[in-house]
Amino acid sequence: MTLFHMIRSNLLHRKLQNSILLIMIVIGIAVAFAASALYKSADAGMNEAVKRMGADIVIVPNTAEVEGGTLLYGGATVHIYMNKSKLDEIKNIPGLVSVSPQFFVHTLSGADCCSIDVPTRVIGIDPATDTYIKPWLPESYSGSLPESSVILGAKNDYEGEPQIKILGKIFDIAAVAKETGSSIDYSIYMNIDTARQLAKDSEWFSSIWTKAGQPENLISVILARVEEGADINYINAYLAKTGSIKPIVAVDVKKSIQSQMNLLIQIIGTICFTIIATIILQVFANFYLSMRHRRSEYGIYLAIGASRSKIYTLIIGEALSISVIGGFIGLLAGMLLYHVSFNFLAALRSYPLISLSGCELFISAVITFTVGVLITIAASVLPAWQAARIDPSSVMAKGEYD
Amino acid sequence: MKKTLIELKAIHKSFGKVGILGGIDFIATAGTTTAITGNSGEGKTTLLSIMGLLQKPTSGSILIDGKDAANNGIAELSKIRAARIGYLFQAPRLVGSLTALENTLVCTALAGKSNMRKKAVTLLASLGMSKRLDYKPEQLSIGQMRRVALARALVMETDILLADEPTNDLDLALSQIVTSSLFQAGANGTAVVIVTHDRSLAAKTDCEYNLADGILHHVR
Repeated sequence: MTLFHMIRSNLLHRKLQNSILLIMIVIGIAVAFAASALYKSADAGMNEAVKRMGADIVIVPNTAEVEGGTLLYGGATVHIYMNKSKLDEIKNIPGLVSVSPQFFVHTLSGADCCSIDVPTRVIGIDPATDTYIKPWLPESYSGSLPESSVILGAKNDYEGEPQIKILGKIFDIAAVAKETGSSIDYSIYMNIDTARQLAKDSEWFSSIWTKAGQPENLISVILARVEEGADINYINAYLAKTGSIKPIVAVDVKKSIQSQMNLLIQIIGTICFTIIATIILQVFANFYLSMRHRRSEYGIYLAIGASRSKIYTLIIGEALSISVIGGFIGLLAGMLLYHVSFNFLAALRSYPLISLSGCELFISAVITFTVGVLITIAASVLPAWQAARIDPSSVMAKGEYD
Repeated sequence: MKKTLIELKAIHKSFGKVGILGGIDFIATAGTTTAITGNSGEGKTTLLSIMGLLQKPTSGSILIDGKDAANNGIAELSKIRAARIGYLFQAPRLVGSLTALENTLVCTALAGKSNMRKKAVTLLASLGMSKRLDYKPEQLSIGQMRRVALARALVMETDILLADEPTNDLDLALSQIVTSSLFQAGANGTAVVIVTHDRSLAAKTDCEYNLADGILHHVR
């Protein structure tokens, strides 16, 4: 028999106690891993969104009841239209470097017109002036967007297929955009003229054009880039004068989203911290109480010749075994929790989230695992120290001097 | 002349102001069985635990192979206990999480000795425990636990064996098994020291002392 066998026997003997400890470690590691990975996803998403800001000002019809965040990060379908003449009115405003129109339409669910069965935003863009989707396209992409082609967002579940059916028409998939953590991931992009024609030809949208006018004369939004150092307030005032439009400043939207995200992260962080701190205290208490309960056992070991280092080995060995097993299970549970939470938040489409790469997840897992194991070992050090100092003669006595 | 394995010189032990042992001189030699008798509360177990290096005397020397161990460090004392001294405590003192066989082998594991399984199995079989090797202490009777504790004390074949009331609460048959194992160890060269109230057991030993008023009196 070896010390390893003794550790194993001790762990198996106290099944309930050790199972509870194991579950606590699993929860702690899972929560810590999922929370840290989610934080990194949100942080990376926000950083990418700021870095590759496609527009400084998004101009929408003033009748549009849509939040800036929904437009930039939400993938929900919206029907907002204004006359395309607005583009000519705006493009010469001093301080604007470029303007690019977009036209919104969408796929339909429950109809055999479309390959994707959930309503997905189809956005017509002008490839010549677009600065919104361009930063997210693969470097290999040529930049042209023929009538028969579309670009897919990273999270449209339609990867790997060469063609896609949208509103009854077949398109070639020219490229898949990089993951943005925003509505781009859930949208389909095509040439603006194609989008207008598609919308016009589709009987499902005919009632809209009766009210809004013919699609070939319409645009949904205008994305504008501002000259460096230009006064956005001045430009906004100028835009307001043109009437019937509403400017949404992207930086303000991003600041607002970031502040909401920070609040969310603080709330999640506080909950996670509380859970993890409680678990750490529980683990410390568990080892301490276990040592108190097993004083007699350690006394026997010491009496029959165990050195203090052997007592350390036994107690810390038990802690290490539980923490390693709990750590692995916790990481698997954490991975699951991360994906569930990520998909939940991504489904809300209100926050820019980027899923972490395998390498990033691995590094995060290694750090969480190591910290988890070290904390569990630390929790066992004081009990081990105390157990190693039990008076070995205590096993001789039965409460009297015989 | 038999080799002296343990020698106590002028051992005093007190707990606070209460004196328990008041100057004990004692020698245990290889191959000798020694009985220490005395009334309850005289300090027999305390004397045995000092002899077994489980607690330090207030003053005096404990010579193991002629070297004073009383002032050794904890690590050194552990080594001596593991390698040289076998213990049979008053209560069986088995580890609840280990089987009978594992309890027998626990000393060997702590001493870093492997390949002792066969010997432990033989020993337990000689004590009538061959069908209970995988039983945990909670599944054993008190008599069976005592036999496992005896096997644990014997398995390392230490040259000193200390037994505290080894036949207490045992029926005659089991008492004979335990007694014969202790005397067999003595015959094999072990210095066996037995603390007992059992007059018949004490009478069989090579040498007998009586502890009274903190002083060890040589009986025979």
